[in-house]
Amino acid sequence: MTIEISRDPILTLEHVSHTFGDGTRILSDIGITVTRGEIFCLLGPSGCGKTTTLRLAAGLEPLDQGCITIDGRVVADEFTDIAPERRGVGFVFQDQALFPHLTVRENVAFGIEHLSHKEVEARVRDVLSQVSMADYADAFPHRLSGGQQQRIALARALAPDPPVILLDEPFSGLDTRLRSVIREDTLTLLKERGTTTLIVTHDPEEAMYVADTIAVMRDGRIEQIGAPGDVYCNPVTPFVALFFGTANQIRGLVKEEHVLTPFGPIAASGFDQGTEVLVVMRPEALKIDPKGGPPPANSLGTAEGTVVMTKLLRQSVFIHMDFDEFHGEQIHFHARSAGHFMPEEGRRYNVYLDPDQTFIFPIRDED
Amino acid sequence: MTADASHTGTPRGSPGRASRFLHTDGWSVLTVAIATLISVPMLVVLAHVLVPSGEIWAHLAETLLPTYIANSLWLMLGVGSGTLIIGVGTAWLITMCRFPGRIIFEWALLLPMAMPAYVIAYTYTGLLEYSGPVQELLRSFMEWGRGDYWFPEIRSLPGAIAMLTLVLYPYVYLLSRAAFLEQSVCVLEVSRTLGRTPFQAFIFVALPLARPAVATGVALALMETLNDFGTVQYFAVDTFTTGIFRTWYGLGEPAAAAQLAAVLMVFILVLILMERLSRGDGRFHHTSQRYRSLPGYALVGMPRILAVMACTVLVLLGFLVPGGALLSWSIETSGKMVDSEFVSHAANSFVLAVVASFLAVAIAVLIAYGMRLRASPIRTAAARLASMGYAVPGAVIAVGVLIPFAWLDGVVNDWARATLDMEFGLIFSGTICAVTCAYVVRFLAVSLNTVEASFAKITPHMDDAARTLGKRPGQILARIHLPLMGGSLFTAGLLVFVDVMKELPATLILRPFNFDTLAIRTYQLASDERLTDASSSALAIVAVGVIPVVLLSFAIAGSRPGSRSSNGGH
Repeated sequence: MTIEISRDPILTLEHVSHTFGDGTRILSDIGITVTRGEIFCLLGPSGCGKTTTLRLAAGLEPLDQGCITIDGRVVADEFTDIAPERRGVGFVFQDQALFPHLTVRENVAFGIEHLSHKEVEARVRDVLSQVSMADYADAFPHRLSGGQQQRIALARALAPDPPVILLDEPFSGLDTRLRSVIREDTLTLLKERGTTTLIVTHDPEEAMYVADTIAVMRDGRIEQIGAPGDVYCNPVTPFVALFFGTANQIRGLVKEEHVLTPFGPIAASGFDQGTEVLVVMRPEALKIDPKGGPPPANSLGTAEGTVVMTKLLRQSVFIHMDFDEFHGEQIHFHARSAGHFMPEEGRRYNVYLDPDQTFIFPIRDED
Repeated sequence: MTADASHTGTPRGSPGRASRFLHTDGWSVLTVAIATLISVPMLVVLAHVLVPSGEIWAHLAETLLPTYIANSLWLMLGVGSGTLIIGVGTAWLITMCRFPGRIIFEWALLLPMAMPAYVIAYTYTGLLEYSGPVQELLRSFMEWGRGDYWFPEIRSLPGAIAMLTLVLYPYVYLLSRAAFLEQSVCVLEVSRTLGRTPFQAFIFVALPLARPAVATGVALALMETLNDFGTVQYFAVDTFTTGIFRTWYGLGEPAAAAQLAAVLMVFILVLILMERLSRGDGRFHHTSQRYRSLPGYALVGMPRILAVMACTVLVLLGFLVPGGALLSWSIETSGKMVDSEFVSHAANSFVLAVVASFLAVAIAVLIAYGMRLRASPIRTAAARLASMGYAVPGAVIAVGVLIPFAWLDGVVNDWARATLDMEFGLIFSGTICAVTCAYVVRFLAVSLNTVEASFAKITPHMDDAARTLGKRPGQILARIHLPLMGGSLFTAGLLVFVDVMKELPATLILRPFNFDTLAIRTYQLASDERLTDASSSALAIVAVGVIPVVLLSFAIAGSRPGSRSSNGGH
């Protein structure tokens, strides 16, 4: 599942598999390529092996199988296992792991002590000002807020100017408001410096916000790799489609390249006759028509439904709807509409199905 | 190179992998090697269980062994039940009841811990013997003469039980008190609402919940009982430790002494096993998370007077009376006893204790760091075996150290004679090398516990962060862990220091010729029936022994979940 390499690969993992000491398989055949200056994101639920992938790349876990290269050098394979201190990667931990007995300056200088005193001073000053923490050089970590500690942790990892920096859920310990600020600043800095980055997160919004490329992971495997828009708009498995948020689902059989839904038969081209499929309709796919005019040209189908409940969220309205019985089942779907249009509760509306947010997947045993 | 290699099982060719393996394997080999070396004395002794018994052994087994076993069992029974009743009783009074002086008794009840058993034995003999102040006072007051009255003989088996109980009950008190404090008051209150009296709630709820801790406390007290040499030797109660000593020195039979030690080791192993079993599944999980200040039944009337009296008597008998006697005798004899010899003995004690505590802490750091770098079953087992020494009597360890060291001396001198035509003498068994090793073997667990707890407080991400910043494991130990652990390392060293100062049997067997310490001086003067002359060195040992008691009382003050200081520290 390696993606097309367009520029210099800085960090590659090929056919990486990993088993814990107790025999649990944690990774199966992972392959990713992070190119120069790219921000690559491993996205998945907790326990999917994304942090282990990061630790393998850093050398903090011994590699079982596969091959890892950094900047063209094999750092781990069957015959090689370069110690983490000689891999030259930057690592930012979820809990920051700042050294509590060292000042901010000493923390940041910890990885560049081989340089001359002058160079160390200059480097520390530069990197601290890049994270807007120049005034705190003599402070001890416990005096700093969570966000400031996060900035120092980033500065410490960047100071040695590593070819690649690894971030393990770096923003998850921060509260919501602070998180978006730190995330924005970090993204800007990494892009300005052109730092090659591998970041791990379980938050799809965060992944889409920061990443150039996303790899969605599940149970130690990569489900899909692609640009954020690509992964969001063209999910290749139901898991990927559903990971970006809950969606309406219905099963059906393909008959003459169509599958029957509450919105009528919709096109399922390319599926064999009789294939069982899962139709995933994001809430955004259900377009409520307040006026009752003719359906838009690209509509996949249409149905009448009763609004049960509406909730105004920040930028959208979330709507619970009941539809007529389908194959003997009561259908309760969710719709989401942009803006502040609040359909009347208890009223029946025409609902159109938007093809951009509707996906058809063959049903495999594992789903 | 054990579990590490099994991950891949692939050939190692390139320099990269080889160096990584050398690196972590350096620590791995070091950890296991040190831990194994530390266990050698115990294994040497245990091996003597299998050695075919000689004539001396047959003689011993026929004549003295039954006495040793009987006396040891009586001692264990007496001290076990004594410390159990006193320890649990005082712990319950202090944690659950309110009475005048409770705040003071809370820490004062720990003071007897500072008294080595042999010191309190000498002191009470001095106080209670025919020519001692108590009997003299009694005679002059009652106008009795010799033989007119009956007075209990302190130098007897019951006397030894009393002495050991007085100084060992704090182990049980300390652990049961901590266990009671950890219990949720809600559980106790529920049992009250279900119709139990406070006493019934204690017997049927609090005590069963505290059972694992109480069992550990009693086991510790019994291990110390089996370790005791000074008291039983002075009271002429023949046990294994006196037997080992006599067989070694009196009869000059190292092999038979080692076999005695091996039998004693079996006693210890049974004790460890019983402690594990009585702990059952280990720990009870507290079902309630709510902790409030403990109820504190205010005692009134007779119970109140009894509670105050019980605690007062224990502190008086266990610390103040013998401490006061030692102090007054020391002042009385200071002119002739605090001389240059005293100073040189004190210096010897100090040097030995400093060297041993430094080594014990350093070795504990290496072992604990090795396990932290990559835990493997072998490393953990080796570390556990190495810390078994704390359960093993000093006399047994002394025998276990002397046998391999004497062998080493033989090998070295044979080689020197053959190749250099000279002799080195007893460079291992005849120097402070041997006695220092015995201390490290016996007290490693003390430092290892403290050091391990200290390591556990440092998140592994610290190590990971430092490594990704280019530092090797050794550098990380020096730059990150040691500075962060500073205070704990000092505490660990201090605890070993005090234990070494008090240690008697191993010192007696292993010290170099004419190399005396405060403990030895006390023992020798007491053996010569110069009890008052022994007081200055005994007092010095007690004074040092107070230090860990102070540390303990500070530590226990904030150990209850939900109390102010329990979430302190970093």
